[in-house]
Amino acid sequence: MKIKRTRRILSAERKRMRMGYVFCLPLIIGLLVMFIPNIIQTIIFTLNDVKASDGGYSLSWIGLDYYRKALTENPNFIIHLTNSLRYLFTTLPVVTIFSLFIAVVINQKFKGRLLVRTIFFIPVLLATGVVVSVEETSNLMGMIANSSIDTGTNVDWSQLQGLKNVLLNLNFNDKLISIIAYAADSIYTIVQISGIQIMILLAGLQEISPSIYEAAKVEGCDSWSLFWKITFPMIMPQLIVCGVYTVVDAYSSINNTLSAYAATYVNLNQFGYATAMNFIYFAIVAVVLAAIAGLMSRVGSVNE
Amino acid sequence: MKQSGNLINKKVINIGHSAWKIARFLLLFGLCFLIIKPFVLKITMAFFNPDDLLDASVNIVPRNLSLYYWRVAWDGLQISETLLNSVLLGVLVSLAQLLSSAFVGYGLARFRFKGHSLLFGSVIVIMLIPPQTYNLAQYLSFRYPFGQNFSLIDTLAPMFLMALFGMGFKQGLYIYLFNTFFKGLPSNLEDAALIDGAGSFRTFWSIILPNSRAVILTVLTFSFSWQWTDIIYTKQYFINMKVLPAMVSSIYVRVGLSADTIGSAIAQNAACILIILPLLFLFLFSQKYLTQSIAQTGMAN
Repeated sequence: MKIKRTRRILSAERKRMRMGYVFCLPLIIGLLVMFIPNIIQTIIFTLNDVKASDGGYSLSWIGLDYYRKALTENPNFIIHLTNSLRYLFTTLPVVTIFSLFIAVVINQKFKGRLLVRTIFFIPVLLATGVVVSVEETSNLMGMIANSSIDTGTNVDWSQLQGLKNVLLNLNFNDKLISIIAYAADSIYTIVQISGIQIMILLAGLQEISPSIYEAAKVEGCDSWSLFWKITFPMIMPQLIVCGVYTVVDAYSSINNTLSAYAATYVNLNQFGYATAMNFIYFAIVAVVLAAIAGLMSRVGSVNE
Repeated sequence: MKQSGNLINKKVINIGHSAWKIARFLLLFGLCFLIIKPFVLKITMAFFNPDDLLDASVNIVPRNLSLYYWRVAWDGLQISETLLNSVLLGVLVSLAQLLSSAFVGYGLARFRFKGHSLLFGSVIVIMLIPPQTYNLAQYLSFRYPFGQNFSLIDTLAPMFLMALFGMGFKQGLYIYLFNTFFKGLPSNLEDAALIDGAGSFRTFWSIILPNSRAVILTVLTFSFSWQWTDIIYTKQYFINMKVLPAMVSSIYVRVGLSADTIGSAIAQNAACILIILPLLFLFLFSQKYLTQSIAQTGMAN
């Protein structure tokens, strides 16, 4: 009797397992039919000298030559690689903290919050696709700054210089001043690159049921502990999404000199070499991310 | 004595609260100003009269309002040819992405099976490796998938198929978003439905999805907006077929005007604004719906 029951449970479990495959079927097909063949094809491109010939291409095997060349013979590559990685790992914490703060603020109830949220959606639209390419190819603001038209609105160094002078007169420390100037200078960039993260966190915050907060308030929780005891743990999954997205986004940022540097080789018809450089970058990023994830899960399990 | 202490406490809290209100207002006002300023500047620039551009005395506000650059942008976008393609592409691709991402996200969140962590890791990998790095292979795989006389280039098929099988533009992010959301849903919802004899599909369709408005709307606005402005894939797969964002780069040439760097930059920016304006309204409506629907249903099980 008992054996029969366990068998039935087993078969139910197996059924559930099969349902898991069914739900994931689109991704499995996509991986097997599109992603993996494309990646393999691309890896083959990095191991060969690819020559475009009419309507097609020809390959001649060169092995790991591109990887060796990038890592040992090309000093520029190492410079761009370290620059890009440094950029990535400084933006990651700044963007995450900033977007969490903003998301919490615009999730509060106040007049005109729909308008404010919509305005915060603008960077999402301005940060992708055709808008970015127009911004890169024809820098309108830059052109106007150089032309005869005086817009009087560019945040330029002269304004920050004024700020610097005021701070110098107040006998502030040099280092502190440069940090403040840097923050003032980069706040616009930070707002721009945090658009998607803010929206992701906002969606997460909107899911937290208000009744939880009400219950906690009745228990006598103040706002500070409300944030750390409820909001923060409940938004943790979305925070991780944000972190991953920031890493992804940092690759296509203008400040990522590596991707731009690799792109110059695409234009030189050295597609394989360019891709080899990108793969080295992604390999390093993946290793570091895995280390961070491992560390975080260990910290999480200790806390539990 | 105790009562007056409470009163003071309350007063302190009230003062703190209104101080926070003022600080919040200043902060949001400042940031919104930062975001809007270049946006508004681009809009006002497009109202310039071409002659005034060379006049040094004209400041940020145009002296003679002119619709010249708006007309250049509008004509250059060739709405009659491109709008239908763009709408069709955006709707088809974002719906396909929504559906497949929701399915996969649910499958990864609620079921444990062999290869689960491998599949989950692959979601992060497809998110991490941008399509620019393997676009050549992608293009080749869709150019002549079954021999020389059949090509999927210049059709909606490549992007639609990619979206349907989880490989669409930024789709790793959508799968991940759905996955985190479904993990956070209380499982007693489904348990009740399963005990009642509903299958996994019906549970998903009639219990889970209706409770996922926020994440559905977020993914839908993201995927539609990004598809609407995308030029990476549309340039890759369309040669003769025209969509809105692909028209922007050569907008000045298309209306038969010679190169004029500032003028063409203004016209290009005006065209960008025409393209993203509908997306702002889309977002506004989705947020409005969302706040209303949460208020109505309570959402809070």
